[in-house]
Amino acid sequence: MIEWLLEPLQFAFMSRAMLVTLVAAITCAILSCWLVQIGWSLMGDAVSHAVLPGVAVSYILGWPFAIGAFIFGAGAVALIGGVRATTKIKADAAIGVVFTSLFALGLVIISKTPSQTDLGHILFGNVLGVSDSDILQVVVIGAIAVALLLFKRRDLTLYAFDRGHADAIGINTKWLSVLLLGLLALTVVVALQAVGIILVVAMLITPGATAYLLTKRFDRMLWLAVLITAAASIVGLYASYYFDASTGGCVVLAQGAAFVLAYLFGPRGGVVVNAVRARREVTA
Amino acid sequence: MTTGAARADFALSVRDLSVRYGPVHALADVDIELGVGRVTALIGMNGSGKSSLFNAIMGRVRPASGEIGVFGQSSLAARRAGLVAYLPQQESIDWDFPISVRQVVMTGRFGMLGPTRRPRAIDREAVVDALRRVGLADLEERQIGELSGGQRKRVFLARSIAQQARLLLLDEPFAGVDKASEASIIALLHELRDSGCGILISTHDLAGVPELADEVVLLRNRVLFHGPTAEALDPAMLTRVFGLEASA
Ligand SMILES: Nc1ncnc2c1ncn2[C@@H]1O[C@H](COP(=O)(O)OP(=O)(O)OP(=O)(O)O)[C@@H](O)[C@H]1O
Ligand SMILES: [Mg+2]
Repeated sequence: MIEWLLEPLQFAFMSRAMLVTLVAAITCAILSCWLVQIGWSLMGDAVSHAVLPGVAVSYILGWPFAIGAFIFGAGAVALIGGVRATTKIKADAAIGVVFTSLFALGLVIISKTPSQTDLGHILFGNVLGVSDSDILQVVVIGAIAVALLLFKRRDLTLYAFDRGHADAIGINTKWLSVLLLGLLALTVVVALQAVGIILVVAMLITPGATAYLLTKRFDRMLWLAVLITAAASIVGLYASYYFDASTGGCVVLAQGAAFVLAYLFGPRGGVVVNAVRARREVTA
Repeated sequence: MTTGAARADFALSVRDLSVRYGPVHALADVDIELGVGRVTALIGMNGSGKSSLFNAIMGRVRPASGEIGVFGQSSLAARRAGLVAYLPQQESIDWDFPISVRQVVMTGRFGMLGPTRRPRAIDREAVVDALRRVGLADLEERQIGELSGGQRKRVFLARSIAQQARLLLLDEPFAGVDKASEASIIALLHELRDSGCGILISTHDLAGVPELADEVVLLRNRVLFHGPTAEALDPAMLTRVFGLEASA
């Protein structure tokens, strides 16, 4: 058993993948608690797709991937905000128009550049082949994002719960929303190294949604999201090693499985628990 | 005598306020002065600009013109000093949010806390006191949605008590609250008034106003009347102003 657990980690590529996946997953999990409570899940989807042209440009120009990705992620947020402020288009439509256009721009750029850039790796992740500079970027950016989120966690929770009160006591709520969206862009940059652009959104939604099924306190939700996502990442990585399957796919699938468990057996909304409770009440 | 500066002995002084949304004039030339130790009811039909007035005070809409003073300071300075409490409309709150009654009341203290809003012992005591005053001490660990309509309102009142706010703005606080809870909320509001708060309450429930308010502002995108409750609710006045009866 021990051997079974240790074997994959003897390979440098596996322990590096473990590091990148854990950092990315934990950063995403913390952020996801606010995203699902505010109702910004779709923003996570949008920003993650919108970074594609940024990643492509970074590869072409030989920049660190994070720079291009962040520029386009933040740019997408600004564009969506701009469209909403100046037209009466509904939020989901504004988000949809902006991110699909940027994603398409990325596809065009990649199709017109000689092929050192592997589209598959960008879309679906290539965590087994991350370079040292990728790892450095992921760890530094992840640490910054987590530190800022935790530092401002009580204000962000108030913002999510009751923005009116935050305004009433003179807290700068515009700045908080900019902070949160900026951190979303940063987090996407980190996570796409682990699971690729397509699956980033899962990392940004599932942990928060799962933790929400398990508790009625936001602070506990943060802890639970981190623990669940860490466990799912490890399970997913081992599964991908032993089944020789897509790494990003296995990690996200493990998170989905955790959600299903919480859905069925969670104390708060668990359907099985509620059914048992209802039967007990009938028989009592 | 008073020039441009807002007077400090008024809880709220609104001068010449206009709020526009594109071509819509939500508020035009509104002047309102609220004394301390008074409960004022803000009455107007749908679309008369009640929420716009609150939003302007809260800095959420930028007025086309006019000045808003709170205890002689700018609205922003007063809000930063924790003088303003806003009790949201029932519908604007996510009642499934994973937060406890005690944690909601604690957000009233945030303005007094450092950048991470880490509560001190004195803040915990203030929260316990506030919950005791509104009669919710036993329910402090409940999730916010696990309360009745009247209890929910009292949580937010407890928050404004913990905040030591001196201007209370309430947008339709009695919607979905039964008579018994309404009476206990009104009693609390009167206590706060008597301790020197200025209170502005928007309401549609004309029948409840005499019990609630010392004075009334009748609003229809401008101030049509501001004076004693009895005069405002005089049927002749209401018919003249709104074309409706006070028999609601
Ligand atoms: N965001 C907005 N954009 C455009 N017009 C608006 C906006 N908000 C309010 N209005 C308009 O401004 C006017 C005043 O609206 P307001 O919400 O202040 O009224 P109210 O007195 O609060 O109404 P109610 O009793 O229905 O809550 C209305 O004509 C309304 O249609
Ligand atoms: Mg309104």
